[in-house]
Amino acid sequence: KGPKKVLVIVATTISLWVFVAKRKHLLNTLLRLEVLGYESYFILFFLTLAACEGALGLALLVSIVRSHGNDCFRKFRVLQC
Amino acid sequence: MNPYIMSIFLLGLGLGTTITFMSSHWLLAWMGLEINTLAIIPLMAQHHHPRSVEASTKYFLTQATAAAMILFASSTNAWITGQWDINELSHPMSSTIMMLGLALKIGLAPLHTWLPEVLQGLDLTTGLIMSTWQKLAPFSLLMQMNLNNSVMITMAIMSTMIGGWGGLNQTQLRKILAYSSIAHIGWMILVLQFSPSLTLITLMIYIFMTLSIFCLFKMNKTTSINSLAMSWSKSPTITALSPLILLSLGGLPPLTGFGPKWMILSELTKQDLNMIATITALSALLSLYFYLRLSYAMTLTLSPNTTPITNQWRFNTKQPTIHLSISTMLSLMLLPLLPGIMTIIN
Repeated sequence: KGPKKVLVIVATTISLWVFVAKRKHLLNTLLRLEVLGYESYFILFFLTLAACEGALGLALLVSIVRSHGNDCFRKFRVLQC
Repeated sequence: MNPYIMSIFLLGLGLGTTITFMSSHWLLAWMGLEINTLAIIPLMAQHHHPRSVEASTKYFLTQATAAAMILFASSTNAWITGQWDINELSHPMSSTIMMLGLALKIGLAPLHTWLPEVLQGLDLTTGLIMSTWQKLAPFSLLMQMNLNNSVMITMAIMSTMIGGWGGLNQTQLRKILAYSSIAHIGWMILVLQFSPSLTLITLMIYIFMTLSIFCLFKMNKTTSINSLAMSWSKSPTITALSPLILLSLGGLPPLTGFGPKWMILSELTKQDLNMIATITALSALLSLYFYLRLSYAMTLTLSPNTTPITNQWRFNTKQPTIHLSISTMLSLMLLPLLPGIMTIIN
C-alpha cells in the first residue's frame, strides 16, 4: 500500500502543477481538470459531479470561443487593470 | 433569462450552501461547494459578453482547483487517519492543503489574484451574490476545522495589507469592492483560531455592509468613481448617507463596521499578539483611504465644482429599495447592539 499511495500523491501533484502552469490553450487546462477528478475510491459518486463540471467547462469554452474568437488564455486581458 | 431557469440556479445556490452547512462528512461538504460553483457560473455568464464570459471562466477554473485541493486533502486525511469527519482533520499535510484550498475559494491572499478580475467582469447583482453568499459555505468549513497555524495568521495579515494597497490604484468600483472584500476576509481569518464566533459576527456585518454598498451602486447604476460623483443629482438623500456606509466599511466608530475590528483587536491583545494587532490596525488605514476617496467623490465634489462626467439620464428607480434601506440601517446603527449579538452568538 505504501508505494501505491506515493504514486497517487505524485500523480495528483503533477496534474495540479500542469493545471496551474499557464498553458497555451484552455482546452488543455480542461483536460487536466478531468484527470484531477479521477483521484478517489468513490469513483462512481464523483464521476457524476466531475462529468457535470467537465460539461460546464466545455460550455464555457464554447462561450469563450464565440465571444473572443480563440481560446488562447494568455490573450485574455479584457479585465486586467 | 427564463424565470424558471433563473429560479433553478438560485435554488441550486441555496441548496449547495445548505448542504455544506449541514454536512459532517468532507465529501458531502465538497459536493455542496461544487453545486454552488455549478449554480453560479450560468448566472455569471448569462450576458454573453466577452467580459462576463472571461470572468466566469476564471472563476470556474479557480473554484474547481480549490475544490480539487479540498477533495485531495480530505482523501489524504482519510487514507492516513481513517477519519472523514470535518472536525477530525488531524494530519498536518491535509490540514495545510485544506486551508489553502479554502483560502483559494474565498480569495485570501496570496491566493486572491482572481478576485478583482472576476468581480470586474460581473454585473452588480451577480457580483453581490459572489461577494456575500459564496463566502458562507467555505467559512462554515473553516470554522469547524480546529486550526492552530501560523500560516493562517500570515495569510490574514497579507490579506489586510494587499486588500489595502491593491485598492489604492483603482477607479472601477467593482475592483475596489474586491480589494475591500480581501481586506475584510483577512480580518475574519485573523481571529479564527482564537474565537470563531467573532469570525461569524465579522462575516455577518461584512455581508450587511457589502449588501448596502452593492444596492447603492445598483440604484445609481454606477460602476466607476466618475459616474459615482454624479449620484447627488439622482438621489440626494442616499448620497447624504452613503459616506457613512463607506466609513462603516472602513471601520470608524460609531458605525457598525467598527465593532468587529474593535473586538478582533481586543481578542488579539488578550492572546498577547500586540505586534500583529498593531500591523493589522495600521493596514486598515490603507483601505480607509480608498473608502474616503469614494465618499469624497460622492459628496465633496458638488457644483459649482466642475463635474467629472456629463450628466446622466435620471430615471425613476424601478427596483425595490427595501434591500438598500434595511441593509443601510443595519450597517450604520448596529454598534450599540454589539454586546447583545456577541452574547447570542458566543
